[in-house]
Amino acid sequence: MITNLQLKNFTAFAELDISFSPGINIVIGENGTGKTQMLKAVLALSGSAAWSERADEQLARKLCRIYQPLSEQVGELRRAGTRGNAVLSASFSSGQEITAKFSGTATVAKVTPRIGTAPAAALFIPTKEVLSLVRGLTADEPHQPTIERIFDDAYLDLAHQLIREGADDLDAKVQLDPRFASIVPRLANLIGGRYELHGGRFCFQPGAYIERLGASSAATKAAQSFQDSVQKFEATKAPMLSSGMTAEGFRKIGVLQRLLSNGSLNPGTSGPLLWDEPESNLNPKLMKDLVQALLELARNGQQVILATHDYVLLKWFDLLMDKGKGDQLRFHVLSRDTGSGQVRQDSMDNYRAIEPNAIADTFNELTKEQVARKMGALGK
Amino acid sequence: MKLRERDLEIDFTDAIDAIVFDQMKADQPGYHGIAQMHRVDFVVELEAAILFVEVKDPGNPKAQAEGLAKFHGELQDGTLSETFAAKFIDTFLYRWAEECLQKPVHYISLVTLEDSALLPSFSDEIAKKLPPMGKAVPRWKRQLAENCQVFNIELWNQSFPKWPAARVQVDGAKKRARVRA
Repeated sequence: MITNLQLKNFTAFAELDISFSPGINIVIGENGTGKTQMLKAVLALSGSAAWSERADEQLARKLCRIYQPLSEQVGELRRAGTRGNAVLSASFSSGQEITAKFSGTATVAKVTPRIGTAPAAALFIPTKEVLSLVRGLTADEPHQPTIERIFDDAYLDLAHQLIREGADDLDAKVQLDPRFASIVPRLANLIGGRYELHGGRFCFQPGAYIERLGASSAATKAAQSFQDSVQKFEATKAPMLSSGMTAEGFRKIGVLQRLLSNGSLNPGTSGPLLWDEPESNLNPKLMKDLVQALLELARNGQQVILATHDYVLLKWFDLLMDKGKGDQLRFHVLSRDTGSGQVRQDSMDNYRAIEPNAIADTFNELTKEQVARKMGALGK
Repeated sequence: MKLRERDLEIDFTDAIDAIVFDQMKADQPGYHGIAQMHRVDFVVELEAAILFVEVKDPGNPKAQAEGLAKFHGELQDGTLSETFAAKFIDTFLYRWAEECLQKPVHYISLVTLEDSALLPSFSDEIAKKLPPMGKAVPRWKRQLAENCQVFNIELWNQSFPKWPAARVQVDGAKKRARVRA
């Protein structure tokens, strides 16, 4: 779990100091204020490259693979037109700390100091859907240079996490572990089925989780054996579909399903879940259930950091959060100072305190434009 | 010309005439007299246009929980937009019968919703319920409302500097009185 991130002279940021909630963090801001760049910095600093023995070289390479600077040299990620080194620092909940520095001409990122052992790595879900790309990205003999030219490491890392083998007996997990029982069926029933890995590609199996009375054999072995009903996935007779045949929004939900089922995402143990624009390609009607699933993950100890442009997503979080259930929600606003052009950051725990709120401002623009078009100079 | 609806007051500074349209006290000037018809709160005549104005105050600090729950319930199930539409239509008929509809009509409402993002969709919801219900009708030569829009105080004041709206302190005894100045 990341507690603090500081960026200095790095990409869009002259100076950024952001403290994260252990629960849900929502980053908002207009395009070009560095939301994705900030998420990627968390990904880089919590990943294995930054904590490896040859961290100086490996972190530099990782940063280049994530941000893809033109020259393919880490020095280019230092903020243009500034003096001094680029500095990236992060603190984690078990006391780990890491700082990396590099100059504008550097080819390595000097990692020092570094305190503690490697934290749990973050998972990053990018804006574009990845499930249908997995087969190509992880083929037996891929043409790696081509793949790396097209996709940055945020995509490739996720593809590898998705094909990871794990205890794929999701039904047992759902029955035995209350953390999954409250989330996995919700996701499957939301999209009317679940994604399964067959022969290196993801397929969609239509079906639903159905509650059955009476303890199953799996449940009787468990501590929760007192439970008198179990939820079990039941496939419908509809044929299995290739993931490319299913809606892109469904595939995004499928990513979350798969990460949970193969153990890549394990609330209470995993590093932060970073999700860039969960709303992209998602039907707004699915948003409420997605927000409920994310809140449920957070209630089970999963730190979530997401970037969004979407009012509906923001508003569902505001409405569905329940302080009685221990929900902790923090909003982080990135904005560009009109005078200096520098990116500023502010954090607040209350939706109504968000300032400036680029999303609400857009709705106000709509109101004013309608007045201008339909009423002209009336009242002015 | 200042018109007040409970704790909210709007000053239509450039109005030729401005009336409390839903006056239901028989001894007051401008008595409406038909309880069966829906009524907007104010009708304002300008040089080149007429305003129908409806005021709702869910953001009143003194609002009771029961009333707020009713408001939000009606907002959610669509009955609030139906009521807003019915108020416009019945007021339009009433003013037509009075021969007071010689200028284009704008239906603008002041609803003290804190969350301004809800305003555009609520405006569209009301507009959709006004004839011709969003349909293209080639036989029609003119439209009932030039504009149908809902504002909160902040956006109202930004949009209409000549008609400033404000929350005013009202004495308990005068709380329900409406003042025309």
